[in-house]
Amino acid sequence: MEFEEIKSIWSQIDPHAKEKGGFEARLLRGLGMDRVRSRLAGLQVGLAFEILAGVGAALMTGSYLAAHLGDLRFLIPAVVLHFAAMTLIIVPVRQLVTLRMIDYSQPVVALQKRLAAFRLSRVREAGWLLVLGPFLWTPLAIVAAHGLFGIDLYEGFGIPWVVANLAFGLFVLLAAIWASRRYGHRAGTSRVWRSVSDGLAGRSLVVAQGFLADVTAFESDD
Amino acid sequence: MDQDQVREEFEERMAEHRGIVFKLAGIYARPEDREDLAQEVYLQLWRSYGSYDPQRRFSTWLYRVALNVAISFARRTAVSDKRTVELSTVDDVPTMKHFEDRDERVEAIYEAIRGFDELNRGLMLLHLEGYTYREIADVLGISETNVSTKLNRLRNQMRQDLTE
Repeated sequence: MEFEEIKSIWSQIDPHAKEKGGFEARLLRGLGMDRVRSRLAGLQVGLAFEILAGVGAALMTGSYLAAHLGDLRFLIPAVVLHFAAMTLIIVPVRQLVTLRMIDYSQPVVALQKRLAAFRLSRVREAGWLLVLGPFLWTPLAIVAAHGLFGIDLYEGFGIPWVVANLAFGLFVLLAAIWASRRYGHRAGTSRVWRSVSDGLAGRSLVVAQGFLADVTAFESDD
Repeated sequence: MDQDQVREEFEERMAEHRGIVFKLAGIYARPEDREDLAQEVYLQLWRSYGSYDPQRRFSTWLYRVALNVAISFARRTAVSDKRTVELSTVDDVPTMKHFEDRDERVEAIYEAIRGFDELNRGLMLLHLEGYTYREIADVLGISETNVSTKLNRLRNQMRQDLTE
């Protein structure tokens, strides 16, 4: 088929011919828009909820931290948890700001490059959260037991318990990475599990890096 | 100008470019996601309309917004698309042919365009819609030389795909 013929066939496509009332006429009347609007709003509400949860966690860990400045045994786990809580605030705030500042009328390559870079940084942030997650259990247990019930886990179980828990966190992390690489393709249709599995196995990073590389290559003259 | 007048003006301008969202959805979305993408494009066009500068060409603005939304949509669904194909048999995945009774040649053209990556799909769409190299370069934000080089390659590829 010659290209002029392709162009001619293309120009004859009429969306109004096949569908009663016309495909775009229906869109113009706004049918079904609520579904899209609620999905976009849902994303922003989800991020706002994450920020609120992060603020709550930061306030709790912050007040505990301030009350135990002189006691290194409790100060260190509290600082670790406070740092994690601050990350829980900063990451969604950044996403929310970026979402609100997206200007879709920018030239396609410029916006897609920006979005690809943003996606890549999000994947990296999520990757760090997944890696550090298993290690948070130990400081959380120490601070929660002490802050909520007045139980000193150092005295109750001793330093070997802390070391064993950190070692267990490392084991869980390594096992999760291995399982994601080995069985990630069986993740099924669960979005959350797939996202965790892809993040741990490094697949999300490869995809995000790949798209950024594609956009950069498209932009360059060849 | 009140909201109704703005909406009327928007609808009039969109009417001059009728068909574009339909074609875009056919190129960038699976049949079952086609209407979702079309709605997302329309919603974003309407939301962004306030930022449209009447001193500039409406079509350039329209294609920038529409392609940006479509490419982002396609990227978002790309991973789950691969999973879907892995998890189900190919026969289970509905094609445009199942969705509506189209001319076979039109379907073949859509199929050939869907074979390109997301950015090249946009490039070919603009070319088929009759835009000049300069206009395409303006929408995409690349040089005219780049447009020309890429289109030569894509046209050859498409001719080859549609001859096989």
